[in-house]
Formats: sequence, C-alpha cells, structure tokens
Amino acid sequence: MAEYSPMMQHYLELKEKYKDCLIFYRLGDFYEMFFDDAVTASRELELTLTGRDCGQEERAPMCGVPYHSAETYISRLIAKGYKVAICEQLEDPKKAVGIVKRDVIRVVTPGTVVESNMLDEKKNNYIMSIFKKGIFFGIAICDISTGDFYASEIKENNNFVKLLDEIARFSPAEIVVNSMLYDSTEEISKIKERFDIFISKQREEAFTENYDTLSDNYTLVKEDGKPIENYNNQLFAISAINGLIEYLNQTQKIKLEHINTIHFYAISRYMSLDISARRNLEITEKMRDKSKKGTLLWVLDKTSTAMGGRLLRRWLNDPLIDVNEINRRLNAVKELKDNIIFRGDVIEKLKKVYDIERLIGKISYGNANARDMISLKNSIKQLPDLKLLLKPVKSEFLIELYDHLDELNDLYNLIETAIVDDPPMTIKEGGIIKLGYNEDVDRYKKATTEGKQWIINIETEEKEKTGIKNLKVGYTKVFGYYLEVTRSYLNLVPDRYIRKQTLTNCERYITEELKKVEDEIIGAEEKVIALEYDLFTELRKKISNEIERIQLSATVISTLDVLCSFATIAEELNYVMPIVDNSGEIDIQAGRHPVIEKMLPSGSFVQNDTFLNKDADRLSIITGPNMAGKSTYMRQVALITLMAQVRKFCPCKLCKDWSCR
Amino acid sequence: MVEMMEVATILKEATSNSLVILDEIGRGTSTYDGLSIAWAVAEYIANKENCGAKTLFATHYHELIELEDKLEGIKNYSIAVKEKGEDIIFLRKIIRGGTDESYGIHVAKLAGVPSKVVARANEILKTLERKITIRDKENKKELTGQLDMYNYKLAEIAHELDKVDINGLTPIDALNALVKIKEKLK
Repeated sequence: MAEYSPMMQHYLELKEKYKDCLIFYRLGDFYEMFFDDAVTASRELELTLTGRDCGQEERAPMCGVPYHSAETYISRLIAKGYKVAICEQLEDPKKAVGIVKRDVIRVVTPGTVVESNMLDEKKNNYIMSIFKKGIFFGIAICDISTGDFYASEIKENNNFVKLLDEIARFSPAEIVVNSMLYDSTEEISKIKERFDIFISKQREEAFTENYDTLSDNYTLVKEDGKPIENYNNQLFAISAINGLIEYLNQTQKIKLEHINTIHFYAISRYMSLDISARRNLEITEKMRDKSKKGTLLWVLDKTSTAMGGRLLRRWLNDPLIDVNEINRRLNAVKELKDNIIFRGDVIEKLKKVYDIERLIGKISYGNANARDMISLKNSIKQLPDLKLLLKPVKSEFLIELYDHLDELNDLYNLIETAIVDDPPMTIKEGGIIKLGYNEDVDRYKKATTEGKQWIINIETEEKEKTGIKNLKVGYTKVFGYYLEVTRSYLNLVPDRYIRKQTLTNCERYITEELKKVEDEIIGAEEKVIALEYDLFTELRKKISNEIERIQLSATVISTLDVLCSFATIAEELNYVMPIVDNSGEIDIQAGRHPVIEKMLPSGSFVQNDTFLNKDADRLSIITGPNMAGKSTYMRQVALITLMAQVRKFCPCKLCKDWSCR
Repeated sequence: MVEMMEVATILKEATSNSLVILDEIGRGTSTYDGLSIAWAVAEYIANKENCGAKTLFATHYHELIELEDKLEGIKNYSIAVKEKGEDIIFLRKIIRGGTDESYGIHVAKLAGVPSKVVARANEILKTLERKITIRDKENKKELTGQLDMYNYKLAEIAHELDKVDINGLTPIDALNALVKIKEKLK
C-alpha cells in the first residue's frame, strides 16, 4: 500500500491531535477539509465534495472554503455544535523549503467565539467549567470576549439541583467537565435534557488544586473586591478554574491579557431561582422560542451601550438578597430618576461609548485594527465629561462609581497623537499613523505624496542649469528615473551626468541627486507600510498593558448605564421605589404585570394588590375560571419581587418586599 | 412527571424565606389523584415546621377552599367574574374569598369554540349534573354509614390497646393481642 503524501501525513498527525474538531487546513487561498471532515462539512455547509490526491490509490474526499469568507462558514458550524480547529500556514509559501510549515493556531468552540459577527452584542457568551468531586461541585465561568471570569463552589445539600440553577443563571454556550462528572451519565443526561449545550471533557489532571501559579498570574478577589484570604476553602473552585484555564490555553493558544481578574462569589449571595421558575417567568428569554421580545428584559432594556445591555441581563439573572446592597443601588436609581436633566446628560455621553469590553478583548487577542483604536479613543473621550457630570452626586453607590471612574487621559492622548481619525480596516496597507507621530513615517509619506513634484522640480532645475530646453525626466522599471537628452543637445550635457542608456536619437542619464530622490520615492510606500504596522502593534501593546485600568472604567460605564436605564423606565412607566427590608412581608398595592401591561393599551391593565406575610397570610389559594388571569396575577407578584431585588423600581404604587431568597 | 419533579424540588428547597408559586398542580392526572396531591402539597407548605413559605396557589380544585377554615395562615382569593346573561366578563380583579364556579363552558365559548359544540356541552353538563346529584345523595348515605362503623371499630381497638400491660406481656401474649385486634377490624 502506498504511503500518504507528506502533506497528508502532516494532516493526519494533526487530526490525531484534534480528533473532536473539524480541521480547517490552510492551502493557499483556501481552507480545505479532508476525509470524514470533508464529508461532514460538505453536508452541513452545502459545499461541493471533491477529491485530492493523497498518495493513495483513492483520492481523499475534500471540500473547502475561501479564506476571506471562512468566518461565516465557521460560525455556521459552531452554531450546529461542531468545534473547528484552524490550521494556518506559518511561513511564507514562497520562501518555504519543502512543505510549508503549518499548525493549528486556534480552536473555535461555541464557548470561545470572539468574532463579533458570531456574538450577540447584548449577551455574554460564557464557557463554564464544572469540577465534580464526590457530591460537591466547583464551577468557573468565563466570557473570553470580555474577560469576565467568575468562580464558585457548591457544597451544601441538594447540590446537583443548585448546579442546574447556576447553569441556568449563566446559560453558557459550552461546558467543560472533569471525568468524574462526565462519567456520571445520569447527571450528564440531566444537564443535556435541560440545556441545549455543548459538553466536552477535559483531562482530570488539568483540574489541579494548585493555587500558587494561579494567584501569580491572576488577581483573585471576592465579591467585595478584596483578595481571597484562604485558598484552602476554595479548592473546588480553584480546580474548576485550573481546568478551564487549561482548556482556554489549548484552544486559544495565546495568553489573554484581558482575562486577569477572577471573581469568587458565593451562590448564597443571589436569590435562588430554580430552572422552571426562571423559564416560566420569562425573565430574559421566552419559553417557546428563546427570543427576547415579550420578556422582562425586553421591557426593561433602555441601555445605551452593549456593555450595559449585557450587565442588565446579568443583573436580571441574579437578583441580590442583601438588603443593604439592594437599597444602595435603589438609592442610586432614585437619584438618577429625580434628576432628569442630569440623567439626560449622562445618557447623552453613554450613547457615544462603544463596546469597550469587547474592544479590549480584541486588543488582547491582537486582532484589533486601527478603527477599533479609534472606537476606543472616542469612547475614552467621553470619560472626562462623565466624571465632571458625576461630581455632584450624593448617593453612596454613585459616589463609588465616580471614584472608580478613571478618565484614561494618557491613553486618549496616545491614540489621538498616533492614529488618523479615519483609518482603513486593514492594518497592513498603511494609512494609519498621523503626521508628526514618527519622523521616519513623515519622511516616507512626504516621499510618496510629494515625489512627483520633486521629479518635476528636478526637471525644471536641470533645464535652467544646463539650458537643454527639451530635457525631460522619464521612468522605466529596469533603470528607474532618468534624464533624457536628445542628440542635438548632447554638447550641453554637464560632467555630473552619468550615462545609463543610449537610444537611436537620445541619451539617458542619471545624477546623484536624482538617484537620491528615486531611493526616497521607490520603496517609500513599502517602507511606510511596514513601519506603520510596527508602530501600530507597538501602540496596541502599550494599550494592552493598561487593560485593567480600562476594564475598571468599562465597569463603571456599564453599571451607570443600567442604573440610568432603570431610572428612565421608572419614569416612563410610572414605577415606584420599593421598600426592601427584612420584615418578611410582601405588600404590593396596585401592582401591574410589567410585560403584559406593556402589550396592552395604556391604562387598561387592571391593577391588583397582594399581601403576604409570615403569619396569618402565608398561603393564598386562588380560584377562578381559566383565562381569568390567575397565572398572570401570580407571575406579576413574582416579577415585582424579582425586580425589587434586581435593584429596580416596580410597577405598583407601593411595594414592600422582604428580601426573598 | 416533569411537573411533579418541579413540585418535588420546591418542597425540598423552599424555606420560610421563599416565595412559592404553584399554578394548577395535579392538573395532569385523574381528578381525585390531582386533588389529593394538591391538597397534601398545600397542607405541607402551610405548615410552618415543614416550610411556611409565602405561597400563591392557583387551583381549579374548589375543594381546597375548605382549607382556609382548617389551617392557620391560609386565605382564599378569587378572580372576579361578572355574569351577563349567557356571557361572562373577566374583571381581572383579585378579591377576597374563593369561588366554586369554573365557567368552563363560558370560557370555551369565549375562546371561540363553535356554538354548536358549546350548546351540546351545555346539554351534557345538565344531564351530568342531574346524575351526580342523585348519585351523591346515595353515596352520602352509604359513606356516612361506613364511616360510623369504622369509627366504632377504632374505638374498640383503642379500648383493647389501653388494657394491654406491655411490661407484663410475653411475646406469645403480644401476638394473641394482635390477632384479637385484627379480628375486630373484620
């Protein structure tokens, strides 16, 4: 039997390493797939299946996509639940000796997508790792497009149910598990039954309890932002984090600067909402089609930025239970609600802020282009104004936001002086760097734009100096620029002219000066492109060193955005500020169902009171015909309670809500 | 099954700090099974020692209305409906007190079920109601009789048990006492 061709051998070696992925193998301008991958991909993507000689008697099945449109095809495969390994050419094929060096540079999985066209801008794309040990679980959750990273552990009663609740809360696109969980078929099938989710197993050794390396590379903090004191109490969480980080390293293959802080949280901090409650209340997605319209989120989302949109979704998914924390935020909303002009000014600024979190994700990945930098600059530009606006705030929570808002003036200046206002999409064609930022760039640029004029100047000067009236400057690819003199004027040619070429009725010369100008002009374009590229990546690196500062300001922006959104909604829809305490009473007067109210003509929703307490009014038995509104009424009470604890105003006249756990 | 799994989770997890919402539990099974489950769940939740969670419990088992008088912490509510000749109007207002009217056929009419079917349903309902009243009367007699007999037997057994001196009882005596009790139940 014949051997496989060398390239095919390499392919098969790779395939062995990435068994669970479809490999996009770069060949020139195409990504090709072979063998079973090709059969699968041609079926899923409706591509034509062809063949390629592979050294065997039979040709290898093959199909491919052009490199420039690969992203769309990859996103379709990811959506269908495949993992895609991208294998690139690592050297210039023109310079390669033998077969071109290729390797997998990234594995794209549902939980590790960063391309903005594959992501919903107002929704986090989480990947979650679950470490099971005995009856306990450690969990770690990351959105690699924004750098958000959380971890917790579940070690109480009924842990598996709590785990399901946490999965529902984050609704990750992908789950990575250790073998103990993977082999627990009953639990795995329960997860699969409830969530449409991609589950992969990571080797057990990855889930180590080693926290030294972890704390060297990442900042590990508690909910209040303070460092963790005792890692030994968090070993399940740490194992889950280590497992996730190894998975990210394997798939992303680069160190991601924007993932730098890991937030440990206690699941008891948030209201526990079981999966069916979450689904039935239609908080962020409809039960039927998972769409946003008709959900609580749909009513409440008045955010101005994508970051705020994501944070709002997060807040709705994890209502707080600490009365103080809730009230701190409620007071902030009140201040924003009461100061209409102030709020309007803040929103005006927020609207000009781009998705900073995902921009820095791109910067950290090294695929941010100059336009992304301009978006970042224009966003940062709003910060000093925002800081000024926030100065007079009175509520504790807003004052904290004010204190945390870094204006990032240095970064603004850096981008402002370096990058032109309207740069091209690609960073490999120049046109990025502003005049005055770098002397060499300026000189090369002058050469390319003014080169023609220089040549014309030389022509006129030489005419005057020599008196050769029909002297002209020409250009050929072989000789470059030259001075052409007809036979009749040969006697006027000075000694400094160096003869290059003799034609039938003229001679062509060059001069020292012409040669110098030529050197400047020719190659200037190439040089400036290379230099601009270097300067740009250098700048990107500089910004990337400041990522943590930018992230802090981004958090302030998104929080402010959500609070403003709440305040606007409260005003527009006539919501009141709930009184949240530990009394154990729910007292809602003239309550309305936030979503249904919005779908009905204004004012037509019938308001209802609710009173429940710890004693005589614990259980209400509600009877009445079908369609009379029993379910609506009950959901309304649940939603109002939830909204109060999401730190939000409520659709009612008086709402007293004890903190529901 | 899924519904019962959800109920199971709620009963296991809910505490006095929870807000529980139960919408027509027991709907998916036979009437008596469903009613019994709903009843037992309401009793369980209302008991402070088990759970005592704040609860909204919507049901079409009107029998549960009785619980208000039987257990502490329970209040009945209903959604107001106005009858207007053949039709009903939903007022969407929650009011104190239970209702045993289900207006099932009215609702069917409102929902757009063809008038022929609605008319026929009304006919069937009337026949059924007649039959049930008759049967109920008969059943009641029988049932009370049975219950009385049963209570009498229980009293006798209690008396028997009371007489037993456990300290002076040999295993054989104990067995004999059991046989006696069993016989009384026949």
